[in-house]
Amino acid sequence: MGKIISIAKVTFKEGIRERVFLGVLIFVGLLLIGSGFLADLSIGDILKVTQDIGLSGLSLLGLFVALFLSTHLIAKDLDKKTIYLVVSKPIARWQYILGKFLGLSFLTIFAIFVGFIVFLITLFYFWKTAKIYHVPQIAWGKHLLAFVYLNLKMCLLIAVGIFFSSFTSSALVAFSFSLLIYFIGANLQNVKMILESKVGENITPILKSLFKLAYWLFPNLSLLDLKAIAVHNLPLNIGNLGLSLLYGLAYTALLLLFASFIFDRRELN
Amino acid sequence: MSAISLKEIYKTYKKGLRQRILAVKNLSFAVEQGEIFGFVGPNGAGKSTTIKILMGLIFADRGEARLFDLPCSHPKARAKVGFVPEQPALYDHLTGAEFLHFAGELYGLSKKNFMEQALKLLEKVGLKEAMNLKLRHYSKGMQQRLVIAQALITNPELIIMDEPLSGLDPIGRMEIMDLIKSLKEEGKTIFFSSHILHDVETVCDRVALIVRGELKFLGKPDNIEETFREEIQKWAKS
Repeated sequence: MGKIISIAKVTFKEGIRERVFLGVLIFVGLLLIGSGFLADLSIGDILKVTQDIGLSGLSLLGLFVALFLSTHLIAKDLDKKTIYLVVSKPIARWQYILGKFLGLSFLTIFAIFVGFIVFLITLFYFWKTAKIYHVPQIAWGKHLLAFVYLNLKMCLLIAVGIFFSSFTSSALVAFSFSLLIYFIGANLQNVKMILESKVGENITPILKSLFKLAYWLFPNLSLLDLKAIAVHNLPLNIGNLGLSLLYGLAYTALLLLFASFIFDRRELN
Repeated sequence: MSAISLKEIYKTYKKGLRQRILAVKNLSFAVEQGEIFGFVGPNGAGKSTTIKILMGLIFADRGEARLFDLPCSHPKARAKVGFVPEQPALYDHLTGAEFLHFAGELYGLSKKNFMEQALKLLEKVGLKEAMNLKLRHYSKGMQQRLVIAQALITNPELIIMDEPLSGLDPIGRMEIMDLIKSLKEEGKTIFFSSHILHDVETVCDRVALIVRGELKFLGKPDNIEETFREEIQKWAKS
């Protein structure tokens, strides 16, 4: 375990010193601080819009750190042959994969945590100073839960990035495929709802079967998205939450298993 | 038990969809413990390919490669081996000391065992003053010396070096050669590839000459320059 932690620590340090990481952190920080002012310009419940912008900003931050850095740092290791100094030691390749995953996960959680604190302070400020007739209650606990599930979703996406990096040396290819998986995964639930509605009756059985296959194959990221529950203070279904948690963990573990299997057989030229 | 043993190794690379290039062909030899073994050949002869097979970075199509009698693809086989790859990039956000610490941890060393050894090594390779400097500020020669230091962090029995002298200025080369000589005095087994015959002749007990993936000579390095010239001429004619 010490070797895995060691790789994780170096990955974390490497990621945190990437200039682009700092740039995105500042950009999202400003977006979060400005979310209240942006909400002021909109029609509707100012606090709800603030929460919407804030949680979307956090997702954006996590998405960038998870996908860009997971594909970029592994490709850099391969391209610059730094990996020779790691895998030539008495370690197994799966330990390298797991170390990278843990380092990148800590990095993403750290970035989202910093963003979340900025978001909470901003939200609290606008909640206390809101000049509206009826100031709604904020579901702070549900925001915390949304934060936890957002981290889980990002860890799953890091595993997606690592999976693609396990067989391609191109950061761009790995990033593009991972981003594609993100868009498919984020919209699976919506497409499923459309297919189950009246509109779905007009869709051919072949297309429906194809969609069913995709539904089981791709990660259903909507299950880990609790933004609506937090913003609109919707009731929680503990059973569903538990299943979603298990789903996220199992999918991540499976991706890491496949990545390790492929990487173990990969020639490091 | 040999430190390195290669038996009938074959390795091909894919080029495009159909073409295959034979990089190593029927390569067999053994390196005994305590000897300094030079692995020479022109560029593209298959030296780096053989070393990568030994370090488990790539896999032979056929044959058997072993380190201390263990299959080289097994992580345990690399426990007694220090490896110096050809000009790798380092994690430039780390300092020299942090990088050695990282290497030590990958060998499973505890911090207590590591610190003393790391300081000794940094002194040995002349980097003690620069130990707290970020690696991005290191010169090429300093980086190469640090790569050698990380290979020695566990005091390994066998050190495998891929072109350790390439890209270095004459002073840098001299320093690395002195280091190899001092390791020889300590009784280490050293396997290093080079295309600078003079260096190999000075320091090695035995050499293997490889041309186009085939072993052409194995023995004492006394007439290696002449043998090398003959083999290259034969190759050019063919």
